[in-house]
Order: sequence, then C-alpha cells, then structure tokens
Amino acid sequence: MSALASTLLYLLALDGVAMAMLAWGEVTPLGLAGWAVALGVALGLGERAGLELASIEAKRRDKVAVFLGAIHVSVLVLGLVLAAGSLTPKLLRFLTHVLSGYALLVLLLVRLTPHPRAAVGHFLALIALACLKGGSLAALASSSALALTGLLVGLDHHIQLLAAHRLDDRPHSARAFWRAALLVLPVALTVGVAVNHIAPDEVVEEVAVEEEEGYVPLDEKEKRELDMRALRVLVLTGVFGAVAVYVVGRWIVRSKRGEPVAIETPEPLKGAVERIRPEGRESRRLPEYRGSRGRVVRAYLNLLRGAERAGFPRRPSETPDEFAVALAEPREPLEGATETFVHARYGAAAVGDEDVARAEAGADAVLAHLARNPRRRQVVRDADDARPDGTKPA
Amino acid sequence: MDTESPWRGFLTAMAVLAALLGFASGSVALVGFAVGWGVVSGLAFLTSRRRLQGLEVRRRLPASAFEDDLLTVDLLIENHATRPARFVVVNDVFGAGLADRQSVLEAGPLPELHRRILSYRAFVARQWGLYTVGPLSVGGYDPLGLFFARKEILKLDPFEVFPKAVEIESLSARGGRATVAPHDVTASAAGQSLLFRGVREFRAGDDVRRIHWPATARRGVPMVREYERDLQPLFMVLLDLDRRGRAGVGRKSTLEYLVRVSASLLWTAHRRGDVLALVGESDRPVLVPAGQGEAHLAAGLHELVVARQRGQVPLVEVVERHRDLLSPGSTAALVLGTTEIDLDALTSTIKALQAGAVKPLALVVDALSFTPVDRPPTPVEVARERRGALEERLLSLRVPTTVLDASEAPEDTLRRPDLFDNPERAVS
Repeated sequence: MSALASTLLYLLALDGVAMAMLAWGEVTPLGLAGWAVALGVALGLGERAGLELASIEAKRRDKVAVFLGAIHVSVLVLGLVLAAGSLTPKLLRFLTHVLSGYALLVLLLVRLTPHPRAAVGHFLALIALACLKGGSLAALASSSALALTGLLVGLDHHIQLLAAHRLDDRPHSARAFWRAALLVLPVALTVGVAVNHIAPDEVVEEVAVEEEEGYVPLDEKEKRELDMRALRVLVLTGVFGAVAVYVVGRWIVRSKRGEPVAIETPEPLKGAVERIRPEGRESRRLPEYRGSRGRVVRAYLNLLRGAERAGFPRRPSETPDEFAVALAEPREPLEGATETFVHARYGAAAVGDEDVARAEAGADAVLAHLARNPRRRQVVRDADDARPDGTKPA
Repeated sequence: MDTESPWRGFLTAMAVLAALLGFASGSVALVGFAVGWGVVSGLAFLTSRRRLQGLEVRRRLPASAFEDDLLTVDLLIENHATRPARFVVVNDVFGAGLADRQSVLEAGPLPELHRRILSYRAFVARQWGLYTVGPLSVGGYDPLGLFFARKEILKLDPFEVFPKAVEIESLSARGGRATVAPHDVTASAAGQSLLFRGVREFRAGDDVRRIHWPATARRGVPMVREYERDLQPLFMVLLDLDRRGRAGVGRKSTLEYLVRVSASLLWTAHRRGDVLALVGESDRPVLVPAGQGEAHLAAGLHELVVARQRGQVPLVEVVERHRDLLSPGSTAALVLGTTEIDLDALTSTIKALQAGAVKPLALVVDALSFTPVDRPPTPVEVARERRGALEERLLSLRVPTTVLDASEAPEDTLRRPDLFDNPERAVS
C-alpha cells in the first residue's frame, strides 16, 4: 500500500508541475517528460532518504520538520496572495518556475515527517497557480487535484491505521483504494465538469510584448531590479513570518498540551467468524404445509391468532383439545376445526376437501363468535417470573 | 492511533485559502476546489456515522487475576447490519494495566449477522486492589480517515487484582495436611467415617448397600444408615486487622505486608490441597469458612483485597472467638500486625490451641519498623526489645515464628527455606 501511496504522491507532484507549466510556463512535451523524470528521481531519492532520516530522534525531526513546514507554508501563502492580487503573467511564470524547482527539494525531504502534508501543500499551490489561468485547464487542474489528494489521504489513513494495529496492509490495499475512490472520484468529476461549464474561458490573457532587436530599453534594468527586490521581500517576509508562525504555534500547542495518553494497540488474536444466533428470539415463521393439509392447518392457526387477539390466548402447554375445552363456545364448529386440525397435523390419512371446508367454516364461526362475545383469559405466570416492569411479584 | 486526522485541518485550511484566493482573483476553479473539498468532507462525516449502525461489541474476561499476570480479554464484535463491516476499531480501558486505552482493529470484512472474537493481552501492572474495565467503545473511520465516529458502551466490569502470592516452602514441613477423603464442605453433615450417626429415609442417590433393612421393615419405607463425617483438619489464617498495628504508607505499610503474607499462606495451603479458612476482625468481620478449591481461594483473596486495618479487637481475642472451628490436627497461622502484644494473653491462647492438638505458627509484621502515621516514633532500642521478647516467648512455646520488618520485601522473606528455623534469633 505504501508503494501505491508513493505513486499517488508522484502523480500529484507531476499533476501540479505539469498543470502550472502548461498554464504559465513555456514548456514542450520533451520538457514535461524531463520534469516527470526529475520528479521521479527526486521522489525515489526522498524515499530512500526516509530510511536515513528515520534514525534521527523523532522529537528533533518533528521540530525541524515543523520549522521548515512553517517557512514553506508562509512562502507559499505569500506567493499565492501576491499572484492572486496581481495576475501578471510574468509574475505567475516566475512563481511557476520557482515552485516547480522547489518541488524537487520538497520530494527529496518528503519522508522527514510521517505525513507528507508539506509536499501535498506545495503541489496544491502549483495547482492553484494553474487554476488562476482559468478555462478547461483550470477545471482539469482542480478536478485532478481533488481526486489525487483524496485518494492519497485515504490510502495514507489506511496505512497509518493498519500499521498502528500491527496488521499487514497488503490484503487491504485494493479495498482501501476503492473505498476512497468511491467517495472522492464522483465529487472530483462533478467539480471538473461544473467548473468547465461555469467558466470555460481563460481569465488572464497574456499580452504579447514586441521586442525590437538590437535595442535594449533603458528601464529593463530597473524592472529586473524590481523583480529581485520583490523576490527578496517575498523571501524575507516569508522567513520572518514563518518564525513568527512557528513561535506562536508552538506556544499555542504547549499551552493546550494535556497529559500524554498512552494507547496500546496490540496485535489482536483473531478468532473465527461465527454466525450470530439471536438469543431468545424464536422464528415466527410457520412450517410449510402444502395442499389440503396446509389449508386445514392455516385455518386452525388463524383461529388461534384470532382468539389471542380477542383476549383468549392458547397457553404454551395446552393441547388443541384442552384449548377447545377451555374456550368451550361455540362448541360444534370449535370441535370440528380442532378435530380436522389434529387429523391433518398429526394423522397419516389423506385430507379431503370436506375436511378443509369443515376446518375453515369452523374457524370462521369461532372467530365470528369471539367477535360478538369477546372473552378474557387470565394469563398465568410462574411466581418467579418478573413482571413486565422488571419487578418481581411479592 | 490518534482519532483526529492529521489531514483534516490542513486540507480544510488549504480549501479555505483556495476559496479566498478564488474570490479575490475571480478563479472559479479555486472556488470549485474548495467547494469540492467541502462536499467530500461532508460525505466523509456522514459515512463515518453510517458505519456505526448495527455494530455491537461485548467483552469477556476473567473476574480477577494476580499481580503481574498476563491475561486475555475477548472482545466480541457483532455486525447486526445488513452489509459487511470493515475497519472497525474497538477501544477498551483496562484499569489494571498501564496503558490508558487498548485499541484493536477488525479489518474485515465481517459479514452481516456475524460476530468475530478479537482478543488482546493485557498485563496486570497495577498493585492489588479493585479496578474497573471499561467503558468499551466501537467506532469506525470514513474511507478517507477524516472523521471517527464512536459508540460508547458504558458498562463497567469490576476487576480484582490479587496480591502476588509466593509458595512458602518452609510451610510444607508443617501446618495442615490434606483431608483423607476430600469432599465438598457444603455437603450434609453426614460423612464416610465409621462412627454410626443414625438412620434416615432413603433419598435418590443414596447407596443401596446402606439400606437399613430392619428399620425399613419397621417403617414401611426404605431407610438408610448415616455415619459421622471425617474430622477434617484445616489450615486457618487468623489475620490481625487491629487499627493499633497501622504504620507506614503505600507499599511499605503494615497492611500491605499483612495482605501479602496472608495471600501467600492461603495460596500455599490451596496448592497443597488443604481445607483453608480465613478469619479476622476489622470494622466488619472477615470470615471465609473452611473450604477447598479455586473459587474458595478467590473468595479468601477477595476478602484480603477489601480488608482494612480498622478493627479494635486484638488478634488474641479473635483467636479465642474462633477456636472452636479448629479441629484437632489443624494449623492456625497467626498473622500479627505488631510486636506490641500482651504476651501473657498470647501465651494462654497458644497453650489453649496446643491443648486442642492445633498447631500454631506465627508470622509477625513488626509495625514499629515502619514509618509511624498516627503516633510518635518508637525508639529503636524499645522496638528491638519488644521484638526480641515476642520472638523469645513464641519460641519458648515451640511456635514456628518469623518476624518481617520494613527493610525486607515480604515475598523475599517468605521464599526463604529457613523461614521458621530461627532459634538463634531468640537468643540474640
């Protein structure tokens, strides 16, 4: 599963660089292939460096990672704010090149922390630059970024979860991937289609600047100086801002830190899967009786149900004859229904249409009688039985 | 694993930033990304809640264990839903362990209407006492791990940790012996001995060879002969819970020593197959009647775990009250909490026991060697003098005796093979 997650991270990196380059950089297909190779090599080296970085004390590594991350985020945010504030193609191109180059360094240090958040943030910044261009490319960028980020987050979660519980993640890779894909891909697709539908045109059109050969304008030097000044301001503000963010963040985290909670996640001893048998809940389904025999049985059972509804339930220990004696009225139809039922249920002799008619007529007559003259039967309970409210009788 | 996702806050912040930048720059794609992430988060939240439906979990574990034991706790995860369950996380709190929480994962798939038993091993790391296990919770993440939904089962199971008992080797040469014909002490008084007791009506299960034919002929119903039960020697621990013996705190306290010594005595007697009993007087009487078996031992250990030194009756008086329970050949293990005893009263009690063919032995916790809690410290010379006097008196009565003080751990002392072979101590 880790290999799959690394592949997704690589695809996200490539997506970010390619989209930003296609939007603002002047890049050829060969150039893109070069970026793809460079990013792959950087990620490979980064994965390998992860083993070396793992030997550094975790606390120290976290401190360094948090500090670098704070600088990183501050520079990215400042750059993006600057880019969104003045949509100058030149500035955007400049940012695209800087951030794309910086992406290689980010991939080299990707395993400095357990979660590659800084790397994902960096690639999303490149995607944001591409989104500023507008049009179909921006729709594709936002849609693909959402999909890849979601998949990566889902896989990373499953890796951490299974590793924390000391379970092998290989049997669960496909399941984890498809679970994340089912949640994310429809949304990503919808976002892409909707964005493309709402804003199909590009926001920023690059104005072609005609340059005369052999003539260098006097203000070009000043412009370069301005660019350099802007870069210096960007970097310095980013660094100082990052230090401030780091200090404030650390203070907040420290002030909120409670007692560390020790959690044990032992490898569970796994028992076999067994079927749940509902306790105390017997099946209400009746055995199936076919043909005439079945009709007689069903007629008698209807009689019992009707009697129960009318307030005269059969006691579990009562035989059909005992029940008939207890109910007593109307005598003839009741005896007829009972007798045919006993023959049909327990007898070996064939059951004819006459028997069916007798049973059904008898049952109908008894129910009609009970409807006219409802009877109440006292329910007898054992002395040890609890009452419905949970108390025991005195 | 922490239940809070490291990605949720980060990506939500990124989405908010994207939305702001999108509004500022008029980029629909950035706003679309932010909205898309919001939708994904919402769906993830709903999915995590939905996964809890139909999941039940129960716990199965023994009611007690000894200190340092490793025990297995079974968690029964049941899926009553109509679809298979995957990646179910069950958290349990085992109070007697060091970790605050035990977390196990059922990766699944667990089919509908099926249960899986997952077990975890827990180390009893806490000291003897009463603890709870629980609450238990079952939960699950959404597919992206952004949200964790849990259902708590607020059922707490009591769990008792017994003091770690050591087998007292030196006791094997002394003390009670196993009964000749072991049987359940809750049986009727009639036994297997040769002493005739009387006749009674035949009851189902009676041996037909015991039918008393003359009585049967006279009464017209089957009658059987009854015999007296065997005289059954037992091992009785008489525990001193007098509040005047209180000293020290925590693991270095007289109560701790008394409980550990008594637990080891009961354990050793149980291992030998003795009939054992426990008697003491705290603010409530502590009485475990004579009996055998693991359940009986557990009952005795439970009384020790909940015992407190709040009594006002000296041990000598407790022995006098319960002397009748000791049949000839029995052993009375006197576990004294202090050396400040009325020696004359003790002498007469021991002589009375010996007169009834009961073998006494004494294990004394020297309270004066512990840090005093409710009185000024006793001078070392005085403490030593009292200890010497007690040892001398007990040895003169030929009572196997050992005195434990705060400087040595009770387990180490009790393991010594020469625990009761100390005539030179009395001399010194």
